[in-house]
Amino acid sequence: MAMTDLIHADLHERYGTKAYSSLTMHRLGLWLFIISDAFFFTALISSRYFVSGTDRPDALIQELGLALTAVLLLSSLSAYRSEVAASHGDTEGAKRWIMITIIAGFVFLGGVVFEWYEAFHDFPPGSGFGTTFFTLTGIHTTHVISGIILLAFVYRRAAKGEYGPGHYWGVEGAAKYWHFVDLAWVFIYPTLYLVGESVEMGAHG
Amino acid sequence: MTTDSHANETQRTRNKRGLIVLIALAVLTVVEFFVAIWFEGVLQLTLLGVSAVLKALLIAHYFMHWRQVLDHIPDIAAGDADVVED
Repeated sequence: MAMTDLIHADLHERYGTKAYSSLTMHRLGLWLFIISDAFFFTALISSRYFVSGTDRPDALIQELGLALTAVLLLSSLSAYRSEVAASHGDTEGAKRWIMITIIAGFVFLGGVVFEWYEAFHDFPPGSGFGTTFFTLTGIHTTHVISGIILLAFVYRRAAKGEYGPGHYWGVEGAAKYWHFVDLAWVFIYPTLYLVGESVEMGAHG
Repeated sequence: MTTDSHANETQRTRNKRGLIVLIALAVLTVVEFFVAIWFEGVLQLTLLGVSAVLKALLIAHYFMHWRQVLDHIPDIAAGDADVVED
């Protein structure tokens, strides 16, 4: 019997508790963070309807919103593949897919910067819709940036050969965080770009 | 040590599943785009909400593997859990 199994049995006998691996607790900790962060995004998304109703400015670049969504969805697949590769001991594959995810993250950032450049003229941060637009995309962008930094750390460790079958929590955790960034955008995209009717808005709209 | 519920599946099988999920997400995104054009009012809001929730469930289930912790929450919430270092 393995040492961990003995400890599990001892704990169960003494205290009537079930023993969990530290990995399960890592996963639980990350999920608690993700859920708390989801509440934050939910509050911001609901503020969009409170501040500017369901109208959206016709100056929004619909094609760009769709393209940004496509990039994030594709990056979720690459993050998933990096985790799968790491779990099968395919270090080169894990590195490749982490790098593709990082590149997709930068492409997304480029798109957001372009959208902001245009939005500053059409619906500035001081306007009703602009307030929620810049707050939502701004907070989401900080998550993208932190995700890229996290993935860069994981890439460095993967390059040193620190991950393998049965030992790839770093890749898994970073990938899960990246999926959350994508999941948040799944709600932000329709909230900003699709809901309601397109109307002409001035600087105070 | 990482325990993996997909340990018996091949890398190819899991990659294929990821691709199928991505296609489903892409289809729902295109549906959302046209829902915004074709519908308005409460119906539009409802359809967009349903589509977003479906996409979120696909990501949470297939990409984030939420079942890995969901099954343990009752024990952990009840304080019936101890952590053992691997």
